[in-house]
Amino acid sequence: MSAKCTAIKNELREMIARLEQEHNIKLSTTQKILLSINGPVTPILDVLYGEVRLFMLDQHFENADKDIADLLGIDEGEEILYRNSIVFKHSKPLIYVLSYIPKSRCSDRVINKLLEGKTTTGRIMNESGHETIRIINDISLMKATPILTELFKTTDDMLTREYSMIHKGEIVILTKDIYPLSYFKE
Amino acid sequence: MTDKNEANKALIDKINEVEKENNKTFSNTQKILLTTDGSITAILDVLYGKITLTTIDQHFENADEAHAKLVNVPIGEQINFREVIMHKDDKPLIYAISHIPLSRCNDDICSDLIRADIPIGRILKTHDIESRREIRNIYIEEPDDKLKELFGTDEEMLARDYVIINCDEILMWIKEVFPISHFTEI
Repeated sequence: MSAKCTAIKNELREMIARLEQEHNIKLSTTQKILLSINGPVTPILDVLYGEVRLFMLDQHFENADKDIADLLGIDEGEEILYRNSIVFKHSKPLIYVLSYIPKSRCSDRVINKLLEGKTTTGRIMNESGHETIRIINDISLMKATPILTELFKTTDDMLTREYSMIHKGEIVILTKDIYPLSYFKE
Repeated sequence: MTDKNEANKALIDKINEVEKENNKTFSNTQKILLTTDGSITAILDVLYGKITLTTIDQHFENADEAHAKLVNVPIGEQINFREVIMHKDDKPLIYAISHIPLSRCNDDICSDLIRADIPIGRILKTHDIESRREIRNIYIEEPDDKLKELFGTDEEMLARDYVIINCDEILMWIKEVFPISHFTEI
């Protein structure tokens, strides 16, 4: 039996350690998993808390400004679907989810499914059989905005994770998850 | 209010079934490790600090009927067989087996597989392979002699198997196994 041993390099561990150090915080196991999972968090929340639900706050098409266009790798002014939702359980908001979806990179079927506003982007991609690469772009701690304060009824700092789903070499969905630092401590 | 999100319903049901049938209650971390369609290596690394991959065996063999069925290739087709253990310092964490049909790998991927020291998730990432994962089974099994020796226990094992799909074909079949007492406190 031949055995070869290799330490696995993981940039995420370093990102999380840096976040803890910079803000003098200690993240829980669940928070670390939610920050480091390279995909949608809804399936994880389903497993941890029982079936969670999605509430669509806002969903509309808009023309990408320069910042969003640069993030998505599209031309400024190109049409994107802006999706703004809350994942909740028993009326308690768990995670605020913001997604940017370039319209030109999705089939009509996917766009129509998204517009129904009933299903998470991750599930839609999964059901449509899309093969993707999922990359975590950033994890950070941010100050609560007035909207977040109203939604979560707290002025706590917010943990955020931004990740991209790439299909045919292009970003098809850019998602940002946001929740209070005091959440998922158990 | 929107319809119910059933994104991961089958997996929740599966976990609940396995718990009920075996009269067990799994920890949150165990549930996540059994159901995530993301990288387990990344999760372990974030939770435990630097983990190490040891290749126990890596070779090519012609698929018998059972192996051919797992990866949906004709009997006799050559597959890469890998057997690894992820561990933290001297503690083995998860044992994994993978079967990869050679006909579905390009030369670069084959070369990385033969080197035997690169985690599969990293191979996919390095080569920009777009994929999706389908979890096939989640179950409890009795350990064979090899698992007893590797983990130093004869307790029951939690296991799952899944496929990684690329270009609508199974690129890899993977089985992951760990003792039922692992990941209960983190």
